[in-house]
Amino acid sequence: MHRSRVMLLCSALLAGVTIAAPAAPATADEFNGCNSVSGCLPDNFDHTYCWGSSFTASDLRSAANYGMGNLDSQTSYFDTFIGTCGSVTDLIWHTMSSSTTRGDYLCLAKNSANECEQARVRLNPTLLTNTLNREKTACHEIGHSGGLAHSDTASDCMVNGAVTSGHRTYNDHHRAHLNNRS
Amino acid sequence: MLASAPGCTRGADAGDVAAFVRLFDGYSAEYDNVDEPIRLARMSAVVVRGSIDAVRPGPVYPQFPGDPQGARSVVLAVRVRAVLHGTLPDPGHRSVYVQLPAPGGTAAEVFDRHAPKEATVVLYLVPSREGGALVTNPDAGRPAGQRLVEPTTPQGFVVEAPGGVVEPTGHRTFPAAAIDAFVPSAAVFPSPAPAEHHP
Repeated sequence: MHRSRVMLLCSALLAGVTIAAPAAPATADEFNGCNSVSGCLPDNFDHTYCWGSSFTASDLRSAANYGMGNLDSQTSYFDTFIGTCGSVTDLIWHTMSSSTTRGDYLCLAKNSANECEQARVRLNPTLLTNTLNREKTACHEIGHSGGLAHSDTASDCMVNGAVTSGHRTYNDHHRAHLNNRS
Repeated sequence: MLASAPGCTRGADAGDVAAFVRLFDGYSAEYDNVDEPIRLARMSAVVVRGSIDAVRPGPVYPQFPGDPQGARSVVLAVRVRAVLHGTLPDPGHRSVYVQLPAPGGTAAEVFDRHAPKEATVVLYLVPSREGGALVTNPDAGRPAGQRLVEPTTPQGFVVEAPGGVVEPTGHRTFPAAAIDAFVPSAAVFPSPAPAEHHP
């Protein structure tokens, strides 16, 4: 077979069988453990949290308290502040230093069911310069800790990036996911 | 698992890329997406095209005093094929050492096993700012004297995959896109596959 035809066939074969493979990470709102999106289902509805040693700024703590309280009031989760971080604390809050990333979520430990037992959440004071965006990002990262993924179109806090109004709560779609854990 | 086409060659093994991407489940960053590669390049110290040589254990960051596990990281040793923008951390050294989170404390050996080492990667990089007051092994993951870097945002780490390009820590895919569409000289970044929302 002519080389160019071989290449064309190879491209077609590879394209035909491979497009489906990387599609999984784009599927938002899948649940069941740490799936191919960004969040991880936590082990239960009790979301304990604490301040890590770097999380000292009062405006960041206020945003985190807002986000935890919002989770408590909007969903079946309940938040419990723990004065001293330990191995069984669900969320450990820290400050991040970055010129480009507003905040992040990292599952630190998974259990045998592929659920997240403990996670770190960070907020970046350099980029989160007002209360609205601090609270929005706190809500956003807590959403990941409930298993939510990013949303391209949502009107709630799971949308990526800075906002100028609203976006400090979960919409009904995301509340249903959080409450159903599925 | 993807089938191989007999007689075909390709730059990335599909299974490896998919498995590698899944290892970053459990990590998410929030950032302001940029459309133009040159904008991301201007936010970065260096932009390179290369390939992953190895993945090694990186520094561990205890989250509280006495934390037995900490936040583990891995370090990708990336062989630089071309510098597309900026200056390498060590201009005389043709590798960069890219620190990434290891969700769930997954061992570096697992990342190394699944790393798509034949795939081309494009990296927009800044000096690593991971850290805090506590770190147990700050020099891990690279030769003595070499500095750690990290992707500028999740947009700054893309990997060639069969049928497109993937953004491992951004959890996005770009079907049918070519890796060269992600270099700083490209006009705009390709559009990712839309997220699938069910009712």
